[in-house]
Amino acid sequence: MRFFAFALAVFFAVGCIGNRQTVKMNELGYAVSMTPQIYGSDGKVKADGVGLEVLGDIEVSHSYWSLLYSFVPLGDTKKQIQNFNQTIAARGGNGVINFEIENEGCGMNNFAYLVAPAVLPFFPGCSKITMRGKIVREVR
Amino acid sequence: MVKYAALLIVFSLGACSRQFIIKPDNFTKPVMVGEIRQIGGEKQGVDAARPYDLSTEIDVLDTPTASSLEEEKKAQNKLDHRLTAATLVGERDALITELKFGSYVFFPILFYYDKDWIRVSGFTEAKLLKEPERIYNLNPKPAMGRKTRKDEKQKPEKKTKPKKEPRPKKEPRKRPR
Repeated sequence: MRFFAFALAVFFAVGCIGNRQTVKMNELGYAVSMTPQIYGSDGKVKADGVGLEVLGDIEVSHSYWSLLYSFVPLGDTKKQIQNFNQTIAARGGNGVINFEIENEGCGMNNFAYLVAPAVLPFFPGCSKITMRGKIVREVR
Repeated sequence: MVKYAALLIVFSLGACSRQFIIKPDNFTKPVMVGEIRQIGGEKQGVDAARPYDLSTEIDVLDTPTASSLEEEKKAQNKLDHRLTAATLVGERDALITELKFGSYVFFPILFYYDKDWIRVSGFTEAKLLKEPERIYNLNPKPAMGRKTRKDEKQKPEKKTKPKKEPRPKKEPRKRPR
Protein backbone atom coordinates (compact mmCIF):
# COMPACT_ATOMS: atom_id res chain seq x y z
CA MET A 1 0.00 0.00 0.00
CA ARG A 2 2.83 2.33 0.90
CA PHE A 3 4.52 1.52 -2.38
CA PHE A 4 1.44 2.46 -4.37
CA ALA A 5 1.03 5.66 -2.43
CA PHE A 6 4.67 6.48 -3.06
CA ALA A 7 4.34 5.66 -6.77
CA LEU A 8 1.23 7.81 -7.02
CA ALA A 9 3.01 10.67 -5.30
CA VAL A 10 5.97 10.35 -7.65
CA PHE A 11 3.63 10.22 -10.67
CA PHE A 12 1.91 13.42 -9.61
CA ALA A 13 5.18 15.10 -8.69
CA VAL A 14 7.13 14.39 -11.86
CA GLY A 15 4.29 14.68 -14.35
CA CYS A 16 4.49 17.67 -16.57
CA ILE A 17 1.99 20.44 -16.85
CA GLY A 18 1.10 22.16 -20.06
CA ASN A 19 -1.26 22.59 -22.92
CA ARG A 20 -1.80 21.14 -26.37
CA GLN A 21 -4.31 22.31 -28.97
CA THR A 22 -5.16 22.00 -32.65
CA VAL A 23 -6.52 24.89 -34.70
CA LYS A 24 -8.01 24.27 -38.14
CA MET A 25 -7.20 27.17 -40.43
CA ASN A 26 -10.01 26.44 -42.90
CA GLU A 27 -12.23 28.89 -41.00
CA LEU A 28 -10.21 31.80 -42.42
CA GLY A 29 -12.47 33.86 -44.66
CA TYR A 30 -9.75 35.84 -46.43
CA ALA A 31 -6.63 35.12 -48.42
CA VAL A 32 -3.72 34.92 -45.99
CA SER A 33 -0.08 34.41 -46.93
CA MET A 34 2.92 33.71 -44.70
CA THR A 35 5.27 35.56 -47.07
CA PRO A 36 5.19 39.15 -48.41
CA GLN A 37 3.74 37.77 -51.68
CA ILE A 38 0.10 36.82 -52.26
CA TYR A 39 -2.04 35.80 -55.23
CA GLY A 40 -4.25 38.63 -56.46
CA SER A 41 -7.78 38.27 -57.80
CA ASP A 42 -6.36 37.90 -61.31
CA GLY A 43 -4.16 35.01 -60.19
CA LYS A 44 -0.93 37.01 -60.45
CA VAL A 45 1.56 37.32 -57.60
CA LYS A 46 1.32 40.66 -55.82
CA ALA A 47 3.20 42.36 -53.00
CA ASP A 48 3.29 45.64 -51.10
CA GLY A 49 3.59 48.41 -53.68
CA VAL A 50 3.04 46.00 -56.57
CA GLY A 51 -0.74 45.75 -56.78
CA LEU A 52 -1.22 45.86 -52.99
CA GLU A 53 -1.70 48.61 -50.46
CA VAL A 54 -0.95 47.94 -46.79
CA LEU A 55 -3.76 49.17 -44.52
CA GLY A 56 -2.13 48.32 -41.21
CA ASP A 57 -1.07 45.58 -38.83
CA ILE A 58 -3.25 42.89 -37.36
CA GLU A 59 -2.59 41.04 -34.11
CA VAL A 60 -5.04 38.64 -32.50
CA SER A 61 -4.07 36.82 -29.30
CA HIS A 62 -5.84 34.04 -27.48
CA SER A 63 -4.99 31.94 -24.43
CA TYR A 64 -5.74 28.23 -24.64
CA TRP A 65 -6.18 25.95 -21.64
CA SER A 66 -6.22 22.24 -21.01
CA LEU A 67 -6.45 19.79 -18.11
CA LEU A 68 -4.99 16.37 -17.22
CA TYR A 69 -1.49 16.95 -18.57
CA SER A 70 -2.92 18.58 -21.71
CA PHE A 71 -5.05 15.56 -22.67
CA VAL A 72 -8.32 17.46 -22.18
CA PRO A 73 -8.29 20.71 -24.20
CA LEU A 74 -10.69 23.41 -23.06
CA GLY A 75 -12.34 26.21 -24.96
CA ASP A 76 -13.23 26.91 -28.55
CA THR A 77 -10.37 27.08 -31.04
CA LYS A 78 -12.55 28.72 -33.69
CA LYS A 79 -12.93 31.91 -31.67
CA GLN A 80 -9.50 33.28 -32.52
CA ILE A 81 -9.98 32.69 -36.27
CA GLN A 82 -13.38 34.38 -36.10
CA ASN A 83 -11.80 37.40 -34.40
CA PHE A 84 -9.13 37.45 -37.09
CA ASN A 85 -11.78 37.48 -39.84
CA GLN A 86 -13.76 40.23 -38.11
CA THR A 87 -10.69 42.44 -37.74
CA ILE A 88 -9.87 42.19 -41.45
CA ALA A 89 -13.48 42.95 -42.36
CA ALA A 90 -13.57 45.96 -40.01
CA ARG A 91 -10.45 47.42 -41.64
CA GLY A 92 -11.82 46.87 -45.16
CA GLY A 93 -8.97 44.59 -46.18
CA ASN A 94 -8.86 41.96 -48.91
CA GLY A 95 -6.22 39.75 -47.36
CA VAL A 96 -3.20 39.43 -45.07
CA ILE A 97 0.49 39.10 -45.87
CA ASN A 98 3.49 38.36 -43.59
CA PHE A 99 1.31 36.11 -41.46
CA GLU A 100 3.17 34.65 -38.48
CA ILE A 101 2.29 32.62 -35.40
CA GLU A 102 3.78 33.14 -31.97
CA ASN A 103 3.58 30.66 -29.11
CA GLU A 104 4.22 31.65 -25.51
CA GLY A 105 3.79 29.33 -22.57
CA CYS A 106 1.95 31.07 -19.77
CA GLY A 107 4.06 31.92 -16.74
CA MET A 108 1.43 30.24 -14.62
CA ASN A 109 2.61 26.82 -15.82
CA ASN A 110 5.78 27.31 -13.81
CA PHE A 111 3.93 28.02 -10.58
CA ALA A 112 1.79 24.90 -10.61
CA TYR A 113 4.42 22.89 -8.76
CA LEU A 114 4.73 25.54 -6.10
CA VAL A 115 1.09 26.41 -5.69
CA ALA A 116 -0.81 23.20 -6.20
CA PRO A 117 1.34 20.08 -6.47
CA ALA A 118 -1.40 17.90 -4.97
CA VAL A 119 -3.89 18.72 -7.71
CA LEU A 120 -1.42 18.85 -10.56
CA PRO A 121 -3.49 16.88 -13.12
CA PHE A 122 -6.39 19.24 -12.58
CA PHE A 123 -4.30 22.38 -12.69
CA PRO A 124 -5.01 24.02 -16.08
CA GLY A 125 -2.02 24.29 -18.38
CA CYS A 126 -1.97 27.31 -20.61
CA SER A 127 -0.33 28.72 -23.73
CA LYS A 128 -0.90 31.99 -25.50
CA ILE A 129 -1.05 32.06 -29.30
CA THR A 130 -0.69 35.29 -31.24
CA MET A 131 -1.46 35.59 -34.97
CA ARG A 132 0.11 38.60 -36.68
CA GLY A 133 0.27 40.04 -40.14
CA LYS A 134 -0.32 43.04 -42.38
CA ILE A 135 -3.79 43.73 -43.74
CA VAL A 136 -3.69 44.56 -47.45
CA ARG A 137 -6.06 45.83 -50.08
CA GLU A 138 -5.76 45.15 -53.76
CA VAL A 139 -5.04 48.18 -55.93
CA ARG A 140 -5.94 48.16 -59.61
CA MET B 1 13.47 39.05 3.49
CA VAL B 2 11.39 35.95 2.82
CA LYS B 3 8.90 38.08 0.89
CA TYR B 4 11.62 39.45 -1.37
CA ALA B 5 12.97 35.95 -1.98
CA ALA B 6 9.49 34.70 -2.86
CA LEU B 7 8.98 37.62 -5.26
CA LEU B 8 12.35 36.92 -6.88
CA ILE B 9 11.40 33.28 -7.41
CA VAL B 10 8.05 34.28 -8.89
CA PHE B 11 9.61 36.75 -11.33
CA SER B 12 12.41 34.40 -12.35
CA LEU B 13 9.95 31.58 -13.03
CA GLY B 14 7.69 33.91 -14.94
CA ALA B 15 10.60 34.90 -17.17
CA CYS B 16 11.31 31.27 -18.02
CA SER B 17 8.55 31.17 -20.61
CA ARG B 18 9.90 32.72 -23.77
CA GLN B 19 7.79 33.31 -26.83
CA PHE B 20 8.91 32.23 -30.28
CA ILE B 21 7.60 32.73 -33.78
CA ILE B 22 7.11 30.48 -36.77
CA LYS B 23 7.36 32.15 -40.19
CA PRO B 24 9.30 31.70 -43.40
CA ASP B 25 12.30 34.04 -43.61
CA ASN B 26 13.70 33.65 -47.10
CA PHE B 27 10.95 31.89 -49.03
CA THR B 28 9.84 34.14 -51.89
CA LYS B 29 6.66 32.44 -53.12
CA PRO B 30 3.17 32.85 -51.62
CA VAL B 31 2.47 30.38 -48.78
CA MET B 32 -1.28 30.52 -48.37
CA VAL B 33 -2.97 29.71 -45.06
CA GLY B 34 -6.46 28.22 -45.07
CA GLU B 35 -8.52 27.16 -48.04
CA ILE B 36 -8.60 30.44 -49.97
CA ARG B 37 -5.84 30.58 -52.54
CA GLN B 38 -6.16 34.12 -53.89
CA ILE B 39 -7.62 37.51 -52.98
CA GLY B 40 -11.37 37.40 -53.49
CA GLY B 41 -11.24 33.67 -54.18
CA GLU B 42 -13.60 31.04 -52.87
CA LYS B 43 -12.79 28.27 -50.43
CA GLN B 44 -11.47 25.16 -52.07
CA GLY B 45 -12.29 22.20 -49.88
CA VAL B 46 -9.45 19.86 -49.03
CA ASP B 47 -10.01 16.13 -48.66
CA ALA B 48 -9.78 15.52 -44.91
CA ALA B 49 -8.58 11.94 -45.40
CA ARG B 50 -5.66 13.03 -47.53
CA PRO B 51 -2.35 12.75 -45.67
CA TYR B 52 -0.39 15.96 -45.19
CA ASP B 53 2.52 16.26 -47.55
CA LEU B 54 3.93 19.27 -45.77
CA SER B 55 4.48 19.28 -42.02
CA THR B 56 7.06 21.03 -39.89
CA GLU B 57 7.47 21.37 -36.18
CA ILE B 58 9.51 24.05 -34.52
CA ASP B 59 10.18 23.90 -30.81
CA VAL B 60 12.26 25.70 -28.26
CA LEU B 61 13.55 23.99 -25.20
CA ASP B 62 14.84 25.34 -21.91
CA THR B 63 16.83 23.06 -19.66
CA PRO B 64 19.45 23.80 -17.01
CA THR B 65 22.17 23.09 -19.57
CA ALA B 66 20.69 24.57 -22.76
CA SER B 67 18.77 27.77 -23.20
CA SER B 68 16.02 28.35 -25.72
CA LEU B 69 18.20 30.93 -27.48
CA GLU B 70 20.38 28.14 -28.87
CA GLU B 71 17.31 26.13 -29.85
CA GLU B 72 15.78 29.08 -31.64
CA LYS B 73 18.88 29.55 -33.78
CA LYS B 74 18.74 25.90 -34.83
CA ALA B 75 15.07 26.09 -35.76
CA GLN B 76 15.28 29.45 -37.54
CA ASN B 77 15.39 28.23 -41.14
CA LYS B 78 13.67 24.90 -40.66
CA LEU B 79 10.36 26.04 -42.17
CA ASP B 80 12.13 27.61 -45.16
CA HIS B 81 14.00 24.40 -45.90
CA ARG B 82 10.85 22.31 -45.58
CA LEU B 83 8.84 24.63 -47.83
CA THR B 84 11.57 24.66 -50.46
CA ALA B 85 11.71 20.87 -50.51
CA ALA B 86 7.93 20.31 -50.43
CA THR B 87 7.21 22.77 -53.23
CA LEU B 88 9.98 21.34 -55.40
CA VAL B 89 11.91 24.62 -55.25
CA GLY B 90 8.83 26.72 -55.91
CA GLU B 91 7.33 24.58 -58.70
CA ARG B 92 4.19 23.91 -56.60
CA ASP B 93 2.09 26.02 -54.22
CA ALA B 94 2.07 25.38 -50.46
CA LEU B 95 -1.15 25.53 -48.41
CA ILE B 96 -1.12 25.51 -44.60
CA THR B 97 -4.38 24.10 -43.24
CA GLU B 98 -3.66 23.03 -39.68
CA LEU B 99 -1.83 24.51 -36.71
CA LYS B 100 -0.89 22.56 -33.60
CA PHE B 101 0.89 24.01 -30.63
CA GLY B 102 1.67 23.29 -27.04
CA SER B 103 3.68 24.17 -23.97
CA TYR B 104 5.04 21.77 -21.40
CA VAL B 105 6.81 22.35 -18.13
CA PHE B 106 8.49 19.48 -16.34
CA PHE B 107 9.77 20.76 -13.06
CA PRO B 108 10.68 18.32 -10.33
CA ILE B 109 13.04 19.43 -7.60
CA LEU B 110 16.41 19.29 -9.35
CA PHE B 111 15.47 19.29 -13.00
CA TYR B 112 13.82 21.84 -15.19
CA TYR B 113 12.47 21.25 -18.69
CA ASP B 114 10.32 23.76 -20.53
CA LYS B 115 9.26 23.04 -24.07
CA ASP B 116 7.11 25.18 -26.36
CA TRP B 117 6.33 23.97 -29.85
CA ILE B 118 4.33 24.84 -32.97
CA ARG B 119 3.58 22.48 -35.86
CA VAL B 120 2.14 23.63 -39.17
CA SER B 121 0.76 21.09 -41.62
CA GLY B 122 -0.68 21.36 -45.08
CA PHE B 123 -0.53 20.35 -48.68
CA THR B 124 1.13 21.25 -51.91
CA GLU B 125 -0.95 21.85 -55.02
CA ALA B 126 -0.31 22.59 -58.67
CA LYS B 127 0.62 26.20 -59.20
CA LEU B 128 -2.21 28.72 -59.44
CA LEU B 129 -0.25 30.88 -61.81
CA LYS B 130 1.32 29.07 -64.72
CA GLU B 131 4.31 30.93 -65.97
CA PRO B 132 4.63 31.13 -69.73
CA GLU B 133 6.96 28.57 -71.20
CA ARG B 134 10.43 29.73 -71.95
CA ILE B 135 12.14 28.41 -75.04
CA TYR B 136 15.88 28.07 -74.92
CA ASN B 137 17.61 27.61 -78.26
CA LEU B 138 20.55 25.44 -77.30
CA ASN B 139 21.75 24.81 -80.87
CA PRO B 140 21.77 28.16 -82.53
CA LYS B 141 22.49 28.13 -86.23
CA PRO B 142 25.86 29.57 -87.03
CA ALA B 143 26.28 32.55 -89.18
CA MET B 144 25.98 32.01 -92.89
CA GLY B 145 28.67 29.84 -94.36
CA ARG B 146 30.96 29.79 -91.33
CA LYS B 147 31.93 26.83 -89.17
CA THR B 148 29.95 24.30 -91.15
CA ARG B 149 31.11 20.92 -92.18
CA LYS B 150 32.64 20.52 -95.51
CA ASP B 151 29.83 18.39 -96.87
CA GLU B 152 27.20 20.74 -95.55
CA LYS B 153 28.91 23.72 -96.93
CA GLN B 154 26.65 25.59 -99.13
CA LYS B 155 28.07 26.85 -102.25
CA PRO B 156 27.79 30.53 -102.45
CA GLU B 157 25.59 31.61 -105.17
CA LYS B 158 27.43 32.86 -108.19
CA LYS B 159 27.10 36.42 -108.62
CA THR B 160 25.70 37.06 -112.00
CA LYS B 161 26.63 40.27 -113.49
CA PRO B 162 23.79 42.14 -114.97
CA LYS B 163 23.91 41.95 -118.66
CA LYS B 164 24.98 45.08 -120.20
CA GLU B 165 22.68 46.42 -122.68
CA PRO B 166 24.34 46.81 -126.03
CA ARG B 167 25.33 50.28 -126.70
CA PRO B 168 23.43 51.87 -129.44
CA LYS B 169 25.52 51.97 -132.56
CA LYS B 170 26.80 55.26 -133.40
CA GLU B 171 25.73 56.59 -136.64
CA PRO B 172 28.67 57.24 -138.95
CA ARG B 173 29.47 60.79 -139.25
CA LYS B 174 28.72 62.25 -142.50
CA ARG B 175 31.57 64.11 -144.05
CA PRO B 176 30.63 67.39 -145.35
CA ARG B 177 31.12 67.50 -148.99
